[in-house]
Amino acid sequence: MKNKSSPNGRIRRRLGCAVDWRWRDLVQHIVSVFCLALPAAHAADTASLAGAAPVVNGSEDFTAMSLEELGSIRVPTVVGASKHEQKITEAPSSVTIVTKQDIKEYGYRTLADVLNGVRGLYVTYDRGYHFLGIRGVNRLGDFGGRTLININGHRVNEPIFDSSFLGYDFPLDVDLIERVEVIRGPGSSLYGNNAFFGIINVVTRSGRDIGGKGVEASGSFGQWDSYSGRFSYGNKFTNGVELLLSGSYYESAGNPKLVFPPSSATGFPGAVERNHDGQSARNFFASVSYNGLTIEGLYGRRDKELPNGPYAAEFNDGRNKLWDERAYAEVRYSHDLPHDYHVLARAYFDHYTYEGTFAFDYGAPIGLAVNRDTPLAQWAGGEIQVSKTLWDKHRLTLGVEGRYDLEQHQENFDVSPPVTYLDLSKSLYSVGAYAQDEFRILKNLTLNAGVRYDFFSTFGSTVNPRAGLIYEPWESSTFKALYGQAYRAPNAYEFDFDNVNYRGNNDLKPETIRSYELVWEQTIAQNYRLTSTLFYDQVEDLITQDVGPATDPRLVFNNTDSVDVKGGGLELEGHWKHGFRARASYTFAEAVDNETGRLLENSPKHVGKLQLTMPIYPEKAFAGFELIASSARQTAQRNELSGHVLANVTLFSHQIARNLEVSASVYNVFDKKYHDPASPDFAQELNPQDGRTFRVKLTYKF
Amino acid sequence: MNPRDLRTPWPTPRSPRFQRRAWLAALSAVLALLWASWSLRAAESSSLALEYKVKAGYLFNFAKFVEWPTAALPETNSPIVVGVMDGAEALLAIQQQLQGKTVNHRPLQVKTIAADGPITACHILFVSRSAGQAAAEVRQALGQAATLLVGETEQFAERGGIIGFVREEESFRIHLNLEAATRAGLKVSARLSSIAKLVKTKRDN
Repeated sequence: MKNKSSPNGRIRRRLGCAVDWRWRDLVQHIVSVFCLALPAAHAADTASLAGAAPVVNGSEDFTAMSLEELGSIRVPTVVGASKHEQKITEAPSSVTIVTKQDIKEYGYRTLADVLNGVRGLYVTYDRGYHFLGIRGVNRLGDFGGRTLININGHRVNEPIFDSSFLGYDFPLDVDLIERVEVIRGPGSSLYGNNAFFGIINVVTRSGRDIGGKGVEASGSFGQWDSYSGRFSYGNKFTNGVELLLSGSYYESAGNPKLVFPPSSATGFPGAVERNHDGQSARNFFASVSYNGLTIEGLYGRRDKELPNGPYAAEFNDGRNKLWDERAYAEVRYSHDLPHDYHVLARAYFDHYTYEGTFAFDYGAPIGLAVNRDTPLAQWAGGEIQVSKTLWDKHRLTLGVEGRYDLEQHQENFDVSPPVTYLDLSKSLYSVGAYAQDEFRILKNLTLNAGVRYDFFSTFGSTVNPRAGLIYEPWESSTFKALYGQAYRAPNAYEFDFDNVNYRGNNDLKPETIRSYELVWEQTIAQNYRLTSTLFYDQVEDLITQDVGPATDPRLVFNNTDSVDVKGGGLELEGHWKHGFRARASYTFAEAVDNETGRLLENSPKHVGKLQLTMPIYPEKAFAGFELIASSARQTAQRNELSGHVLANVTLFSHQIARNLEVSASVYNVFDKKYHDPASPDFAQELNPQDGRTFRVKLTYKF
Repeated sequence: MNPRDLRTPWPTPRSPRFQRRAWLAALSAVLALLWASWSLRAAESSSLALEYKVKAGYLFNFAKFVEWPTAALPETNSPIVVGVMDGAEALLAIQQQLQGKTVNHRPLQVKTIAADGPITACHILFVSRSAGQAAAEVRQALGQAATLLVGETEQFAERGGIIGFVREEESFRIHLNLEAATRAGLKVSARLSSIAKLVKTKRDN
């Protein structure tokens, strides 16, 4: 109740800003920031150079640095931007890397926690699933198919709803993550479907990285009876075989009291849900590799109690729950051939199923009945990619991918009395071919251009190009001018979900985006990195659910909406001795619906993040602080939800006792009561989020 | 509908006043950007050569914190010879960083060593990854020589080398095999062993 402005328009002061930001203001502010920052940065630059090291032969003198300083200099690389390893400054995108050290120092529990700390990203939680917003777009009721999530290059998004799993439903334990690459911008020119606003590539740890003798055991205990356990074995043997096996389990009783505020806009009277937010998850990961051949697989299942009523289900009914299961097996082969050829081939088989149980009130004479949703998807595919460097100037990559969806099954029925509403199976296929050239025009000027052709048996073909000009005028600066197109194919749910209330639509076409971006990356005095970006996205044919025509008023999906997003971001990172580091970012994004001229719902104009690691004992114990700030957002009912600032603190140590890592974290330190807007499919307008919680974690390496 | 939600258009997009303002704003932004990066370019750190500049810095520190037997350094000012096996980029960076420097009054000399040629006597031998030589093979070729064998390929220190460069997160750290150092007759100062990860030789079956 406190978070909403009254519906009759009384204006409430938003967090931190009293003025409507406009495009002109943004440009003026960026210019003045540069003018102010320049003398400061220049002073810091010369000061640090003068203080630290004299110039030798026109270059920094590394022999004057201490061993600790040498060990803290970073040369960051990314794999997912061009489908091969390259320095971030050479990638045709604005990239952020989150490392396993970040995950430990900031106490990230899930991929959602990781992404919530990244510039320009924000995660919304509806007590069932997490939804990712990049640069101002996170429409309520959509499932998250506009960001492609990969694990080691393998697509995690499932084809029924296009959802990606970001919480404990993510099928990989975050302790197995080596790094997360957040690659902003359209990526369909290489990856095809879902690489709309960006790609998130999760890279797993290698077997040899696990423990000393290869065994790691981890356990944690947290608020609300939350427990987790993990056992991992990993090793690289003398014969060259590398193995990683891991199993994890998580269980939590969940938030014991969730207060859902009433809404005059939806007519929801308000509710207090007690003891119905619990979840449990288990996952397994296995990877074996030898000489370029890798066989990898995972399995994850997450069960959750639902404290609210999605799709008009009854509140406070103990029967509302869901579970998700995601699994895959993949074989991939990577090999360097003579004459500078490199080949990568992969074949995979995937499985996804979900079961949602909801209690509906059908009114007299049926009354309350239990409804069940049980889709199932299985698919298999393969990809072959060849790359070659020609004449030292061109790195050419060609690839083909084919995928056969053996089964996309959707089923919806009432348990008792038994009524089947939907029972539909279909199979489909898609093929894609892509080409990319990285043309080193001059030693410091590169053109990265690529295009991909995709054909889907459901809707036909789509062609998506991307081009990036990357210029390094002098050694510490990189300028990038980027253009890309991407698409999101309509999924099984949008095409086929057909029953008494919903109508399927086989005429759907893919959503499209054209994105323009300018990026400036600057290294300052070895230990600072500044990134600044301006972007403009034109999104067309957004698949939106609406009431049908008078002849058939059932809800139906159509390609109706178009959105323009304009914005920019600024990020500064610094590293100092003994592990002291900080990262601060700010992103402005104005996402407007072109039909109505209004801002999109669930779109904060301003998003800020701050992470700071302070060594308590050099190299052994650290304190990690994180601040996440979001400005006001609109709910689905067009009321204003005020912004919030959240703080998390983690104390982390390793090697204090031999082979032991200990961490203690407090999340939402100030116990801020905040909400996320709910999807229009829900009876309530707002979903309450968690207050202050803690977690203690121990990891033992043998 | 809350009127504040509406995006109020800023002087109509087609008006000349708007266009002039937009151009001025864009131009000043671009100029500010260029000036900013030009003044910040003094901190040279090309990502291309940065890796080897860092490793050259490490090699300098190794010369500082390792003791060779008297037979290897008879005079108080005998030069410390740093051999670089292959790797044009590595050689360039190491030469640039070490040439002309002194460690404990001893001048540093940088020499190239061919990957398949004889290994002339050097106090530190850095095997670049493009040399394609396994640590065990180089160790064999060195025999009893009091050479600090440093490499950057996988498990270099565990398979015959003394120090291996390892990529950790996004920076470079070192693995140190004290047993191999002792066998070569070298003494490693605690200053160096304290920041390294100590590893043991892995025996092949």
